[in-house]
Amino acid sequence: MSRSFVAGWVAVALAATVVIPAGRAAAATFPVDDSATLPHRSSAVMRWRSAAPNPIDGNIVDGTTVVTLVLNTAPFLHRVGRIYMLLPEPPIGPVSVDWTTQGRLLPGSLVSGGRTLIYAGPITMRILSDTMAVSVHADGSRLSSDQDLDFHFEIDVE
Amino acid sequence: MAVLSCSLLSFAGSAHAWIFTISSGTREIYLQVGAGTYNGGDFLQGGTPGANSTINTVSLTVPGASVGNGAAETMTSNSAVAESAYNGYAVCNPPTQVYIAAWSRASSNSATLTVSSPASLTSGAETIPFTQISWTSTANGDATADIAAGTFSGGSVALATVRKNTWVEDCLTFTYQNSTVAAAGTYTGEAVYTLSLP
Repeated sequence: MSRSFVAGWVAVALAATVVIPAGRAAAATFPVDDSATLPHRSSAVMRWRSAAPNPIDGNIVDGTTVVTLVLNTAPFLHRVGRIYMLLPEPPIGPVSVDWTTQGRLLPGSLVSGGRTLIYAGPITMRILSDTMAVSVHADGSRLSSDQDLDFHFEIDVE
Repeated sequence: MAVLSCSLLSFAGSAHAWIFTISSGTREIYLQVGAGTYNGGDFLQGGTPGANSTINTVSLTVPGASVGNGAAETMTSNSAVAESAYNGYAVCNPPTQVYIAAWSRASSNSATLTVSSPASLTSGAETIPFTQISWTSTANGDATADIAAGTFSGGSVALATVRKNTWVEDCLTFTYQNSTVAAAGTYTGEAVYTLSLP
């Protein structure tokens, strides 16, 4: 008995699929909601740093406030991130800011137009909060009327 | 089924909320003519401005034979202030010169320094026009005067515009023109220096 074989082609399809878990944003920068911060608005009458005009620091004015910063980190829960404080450049020119904390957030300093790290690590809680003693320094010769310093917060998530 | 919900904080949904409003520093001015007070040394030593109510005098005795001859004569002050209130530098040469310093603290506007005088110095009913007294303005180590030289006008005379957040100082030397014939006597009058910040 002879057996004949018919040669044929078997097509094999190979499908490649990449699955992205739902609910996980890719690494990126996002604004952080601080709308629960207390107080919502702080104010300070600035003080001249020196007792009279002088070439060294005669125009610098200083002001301080205490704020309880409350950051809504719920959208980033279980992620690892780096949170920054930002201050846009105000019309009165550069403003420098420095602050101390109670330890939950990082102390640091910031010059307007830049951003400074205030937290780095895993986001384990829905709210990240700390009390900050904030000092602001500006050119008093340009501060002719009230100036709002509009702080922002953002997170770089991994 | 029991659901326990506890919420102490709520977010407004906006991305940010905290705004820190800063207001301008307190406006301040300082004026010293002759004697003045800086507590704790000059400014660069950490001194701070104080109040001083001293009114200094510049005076001159004209010999009888010279009265009204038109030869100007330098007046002498009872001020002993030689050193700058800013840095202690020996900026003036008393008693011929009278130290004058002014500064302003402001976020806008300049201060204006003026001096005003009555029309005349008086000795009883006798008078000598205040316009008989002029002054020059110099300072050791500074060839350019910040405060103008001039002559009393019987009214207000502008001396300087003190720009915001600046310190000016000079030394005034007063001269009696001696071009009027006056009766014997002691003639007095008071000039008032004013620094104003609008």
